[in-house]
Amino acid sequence: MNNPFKSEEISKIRIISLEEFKDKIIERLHELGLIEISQTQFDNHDNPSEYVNDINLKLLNLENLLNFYTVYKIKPIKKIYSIKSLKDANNLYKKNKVDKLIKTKTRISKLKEDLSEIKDAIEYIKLFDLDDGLILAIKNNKFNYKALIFNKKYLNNIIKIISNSSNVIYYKYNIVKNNVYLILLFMKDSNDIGINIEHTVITFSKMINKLDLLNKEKTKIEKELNILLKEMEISRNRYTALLALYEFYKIQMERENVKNFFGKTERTFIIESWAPLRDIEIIENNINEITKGKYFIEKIKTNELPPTYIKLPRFAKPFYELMSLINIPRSDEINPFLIFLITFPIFYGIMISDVGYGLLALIFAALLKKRYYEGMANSVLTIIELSSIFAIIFGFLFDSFFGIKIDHYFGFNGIDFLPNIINILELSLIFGIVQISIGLVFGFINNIKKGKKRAISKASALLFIDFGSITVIAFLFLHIYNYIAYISLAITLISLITYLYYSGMEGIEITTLISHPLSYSRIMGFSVASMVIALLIDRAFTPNPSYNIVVFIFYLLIFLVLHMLNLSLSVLEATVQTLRLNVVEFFTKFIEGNGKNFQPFKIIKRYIK
Amino acid sequence: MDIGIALSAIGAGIAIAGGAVGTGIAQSSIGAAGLGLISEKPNQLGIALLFLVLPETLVIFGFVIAILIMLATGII
Repeated sequence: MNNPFKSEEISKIRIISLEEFKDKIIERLHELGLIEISQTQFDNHDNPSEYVNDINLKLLNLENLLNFYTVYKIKPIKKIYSIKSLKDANNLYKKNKVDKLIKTKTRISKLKEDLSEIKDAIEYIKLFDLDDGLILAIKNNKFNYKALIFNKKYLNNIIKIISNSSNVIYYKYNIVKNNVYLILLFMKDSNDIGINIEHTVITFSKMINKLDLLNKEKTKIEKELNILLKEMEISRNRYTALLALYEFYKIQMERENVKNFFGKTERTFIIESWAPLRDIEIIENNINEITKGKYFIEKIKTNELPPTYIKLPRFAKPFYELMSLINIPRSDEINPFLIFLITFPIFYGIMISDVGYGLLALIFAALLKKRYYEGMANSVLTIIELSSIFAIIFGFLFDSFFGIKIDHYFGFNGIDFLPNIINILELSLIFGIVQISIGLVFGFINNIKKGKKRAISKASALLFIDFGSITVIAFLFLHIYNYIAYISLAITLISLITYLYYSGMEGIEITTLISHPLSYSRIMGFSVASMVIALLIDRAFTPNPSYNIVVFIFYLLIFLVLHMLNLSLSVLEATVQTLRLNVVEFFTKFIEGNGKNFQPFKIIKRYIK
Repeated sequence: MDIGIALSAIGAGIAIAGGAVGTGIAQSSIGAAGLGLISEKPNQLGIALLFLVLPETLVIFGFVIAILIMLATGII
């Protein structure tokens, strides 16, 4: 069984084979997804071919079209297209008339722009209350004009300025809500009366000039637009077909792009890559099958640090993604992911600890996942979904359903949260002491390789925290003054001195050894906050059936809105604070970080076989 | 009401208020800097969010102190 705290052993390998097998080998390696290809030292590769340019163009076209369909918020269907070769893809490309669709899309954009110009012109004519005479004056270009929008509180001042000005030959204004829409006509040699208030200037001579033409064509444009939109066939089927094509060409492109990393001689090509040690045999067997023995594979000695690679079950991947967002442990460090995976849902569960909130968070996360079906958003929703199960479990334990006690509904007597607040605080601190102690043990192991001093510093920090806690509990809480308590006190003091002696500059972080375990009190803190707010909402706004129907509905609405707000706040805080406890308080005890995840050269297929 | 309990209640209030004000001041500059960071580098959202919640420790400690005061004096 793999060590869950250790990155898989990864080695750098070099594969050399004949040029004629290159495409087949790339295809097989892509399907296997076992290696991360890196740049070879032999920088000698081919120029992009016509084929690459063609695929690039197709990808651009498809991307363009997919952006168009995305606006209509269409979801792809679970249809798997059978595209095995370039011929299949090109047929599907032709069948879907992609090139024609691109032209249609461009025409649609132009028509939409025209329609929007017409609408703007009509809107401004209405707002400025332009009559035929004014429109004609602007059109004929006999006068200069200025169209202004400003707040109506300036109107009187402006009218005074206009009255005193000899440049203005005509003006007209229209008030809509708080805004004044004013148009001024000037003689040809002037166009200003020195208005220095906050205003917007509108230029619509171009719009007005086009207005006649566009007005006549408006119906025509709208008709054409409808026909074109039908042609685009904004359907889930078409969208999925385009996605499948995009996926296929992207795979081809990845295969072409990866050649840039290869080295090359006249008849051979060279691949250098990272590969997990246990997979090298599989890779070799596959290459042997393709080349019939005409290959060479070797492990390369290198000073580079291998990427970090942990094999994960599917449910754990979103948690790893979240952890990687902040810090990736290096491959030569102890990997804390298992601890993160265990503690995240527990801390989250305690911070929410309400059956109702847990259920709602679970349902909302599941529903939102249908909308955000990929990417980081999907991962975070999966984490909330799984962690909410723990919120439900702790909700039962702490006897809370939207802040209301549930024991008399289920015949189960949970722990009454508020009277037991000190016990829960103690539990939170114990979590802190245990997790930080594990962190310091990991730090000790990590630092053994790096030097005795740092390892001793970690060990003494560990002793300081653990024996310090025992001493505090013995003297201050249990009032025990026997020899065990004094030994514990002596160990605490000795470890403190050793820590300060061996940690060097890091010694100034001594306060964190006390503040970090205390920081875990936030588990209790956020839990109480969420529960008390829920309780207050219940007390103030629970709708009573004796109310009349209007008041009842009013109370019910406020009750639901406030609970939803509290739920969103609780979920956000629980997620962020749990992440923080792990990353700041726990990881800093042993991780240097700045690692790089193993990114295998691997096909990701969603829509094609 | 016993003056001692009243003073304890005020003390609990100050503990929370002090922590909250400190957190607020710290978060205002971290939040602005964080937004600047993610507008330049959207992939740094996680780091920005993490830095934003760092000063919340202050208010949490204030909250814990307040609860301890209230428990010790029998307010709750």
